[in-house]
Amino acid sequence: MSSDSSPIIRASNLRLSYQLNTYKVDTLKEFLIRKFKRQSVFQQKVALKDISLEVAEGECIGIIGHNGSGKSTLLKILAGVIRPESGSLSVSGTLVPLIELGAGFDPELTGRENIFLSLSIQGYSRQEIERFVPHIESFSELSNELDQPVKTYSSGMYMRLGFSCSTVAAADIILIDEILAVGDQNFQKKCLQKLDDLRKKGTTIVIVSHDLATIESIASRLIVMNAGQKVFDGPIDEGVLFYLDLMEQKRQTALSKAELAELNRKAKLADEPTPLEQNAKIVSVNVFTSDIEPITPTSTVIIEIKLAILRETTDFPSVGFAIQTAKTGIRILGGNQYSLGMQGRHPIPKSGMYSTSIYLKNLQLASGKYDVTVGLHTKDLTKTLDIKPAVASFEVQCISDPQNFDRDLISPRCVVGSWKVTAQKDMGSHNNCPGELQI
Amino acid sequence: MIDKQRLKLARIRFDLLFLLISKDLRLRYRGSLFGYLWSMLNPLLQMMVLTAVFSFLVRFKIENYPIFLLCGIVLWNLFSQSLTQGANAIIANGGLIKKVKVPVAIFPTASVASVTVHFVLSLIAFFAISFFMGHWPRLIWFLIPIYLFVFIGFIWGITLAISSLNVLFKDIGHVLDPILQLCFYGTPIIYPISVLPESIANIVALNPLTHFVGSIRTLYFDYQVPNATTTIYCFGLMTLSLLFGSFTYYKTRDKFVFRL
Repeated sequence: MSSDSSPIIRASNLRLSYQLNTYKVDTLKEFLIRKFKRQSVFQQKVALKDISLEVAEGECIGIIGHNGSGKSTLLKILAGVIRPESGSLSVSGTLVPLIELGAGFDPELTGRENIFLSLSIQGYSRQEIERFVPHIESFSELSNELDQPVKTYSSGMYMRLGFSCSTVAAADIILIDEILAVGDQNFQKKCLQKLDDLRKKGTTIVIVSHDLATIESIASRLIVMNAGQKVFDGPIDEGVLFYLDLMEQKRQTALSKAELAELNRKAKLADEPTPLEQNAKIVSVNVFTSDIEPITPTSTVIIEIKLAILRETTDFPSVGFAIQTAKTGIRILGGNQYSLGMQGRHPIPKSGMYSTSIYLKNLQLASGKYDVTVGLHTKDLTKTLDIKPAVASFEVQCISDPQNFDRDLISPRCVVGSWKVTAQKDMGSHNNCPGELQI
Repeated sequence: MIDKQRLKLARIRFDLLFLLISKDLRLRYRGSLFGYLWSMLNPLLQMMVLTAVFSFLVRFKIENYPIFLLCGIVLWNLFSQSLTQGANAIIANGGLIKKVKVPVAIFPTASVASVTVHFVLSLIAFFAISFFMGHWPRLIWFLIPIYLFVFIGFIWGITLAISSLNVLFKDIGHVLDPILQLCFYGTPIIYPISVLPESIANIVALNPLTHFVGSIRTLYFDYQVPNATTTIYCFGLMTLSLLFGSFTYYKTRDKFVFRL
């Protein structure tokens, strides 16, 4: 990331307002009547107020905000789909918007024909596209289906083709809007991997989402939008705290006055400094292994939890985890640092971002998929601060039994110590020496 | 340097236009038995129906009436199909326009272009019938492409305007059909302008189509060069239409995203 070089995207004082839906004039009659009555034809709603933004080449920034904060509108302006009312925008370099995967695919056309159409719309010449086709074919894993109409594709295949088309050309800038929330998990992983590769090659990425975890995993800088304004622009860690705090304030103002009074009264009675519920949030959960992939029954599995503490509290919250089977949801084990007696030296819970890593050694699980649930509780476990059920997952592959025919939960190979086979004397006369089998 | 970039951009636009046309043609006949033959068969069937009707019901004193009629119908189809297809071109691609930066004008342009391709295909059948009926080519026919070109320019401008306005006011799509019907009878297609009483002929002369169809038919049917007034009319109308079309488009295009 070179922040001193000239920015690849430079926007200044972007402003946009549009007509509210209730005042939408759709027919000529309505339009003329309103004109005639000298009524304002449209009621204006300001979607973006004086947004200025600079993105350096190779930077990866996230834009976050609740619904209607203008984040998608901003992205569409950057993509050139919407022209701002005032303000200036300069983008140097090629730009690909991933606002919707496979936007502009014609269902009647074959996959191959759609590749040409889609990339042609992106602005590539015929010869360039012809060079891209083999790459798309291999990345999308659709070489057999490429000559069939897209309407026969499953939604997953559709997404794969769309993503391949959008990323094959390695544009200078990629704009992403929520698309990673869809598709199956393997595909998501592949997409994230591809985006990571592109980022390493120096592609500038702007991603819009309201999912903190997605943004946190990609972006290094965060912009928080609220009511059409940029209210924060800075490093991701500070941004996450700022956003969570903002959301909390919104939640509180959304409560009615009576509810608020009741809450305050209770807080006074209980003599608590501040209700802790609002003060800690899980930001992201990541499960991986420190050993070689894939995870085997004996590998060390690490659950990395990032959490944000919004206001200073007395005790560090209890960080709990549980592992359950992905298919059947059977809980295998779980606990938190207090119940496991591992409180050790906790930092004084000032506001900020914290990271907790739980090392699970020798987990001995059988082949299969497992989900991880993470929760934050008060130290005395009476109150839940935040809980994310099945927020992450991992897969164990036992080499001796990769299919797990018996649907074991625990890998038998690691539990069974020895195996004895003894022949009874009266069963046969030939083979009567006792044998012992050692695994 | 800048010119080189412009050249590349123009090439890319052309490629895209080509793709859109071929997509349109391919989709239209995918799954039909006769395929492209329909482009030729359609005006032929239309001519047969109309000839049958007008040879028996109303008798115009024209030699080789089927050829006269067919010439008009082929030109009329070029006009009306461009408009009906073009009117929805932007709306139909709304999903794309809302999400990707595209030169929106390319969609109505592609509609006109693909209808033009059809038109050219139907000419094969047209000339075959023409020769069969004893209407032979002459050197003067070389002027036809010029007038056709002007006519297509006129159609392009109108289509651009209609497709843009249709996004903002959906009424246009509904009004278009009756207007086209009126135009069909208000243009000398099935009848020669000479059969009309002068008062009505003056009104019909206000119809731009009268001049386009008239000029091409003069060349093709009468083997005569259209007179200067008609020629100036045609060029003037094309210019006006193109100006009106691009003006409407540039004025409205920023609103498309919110209305689609």
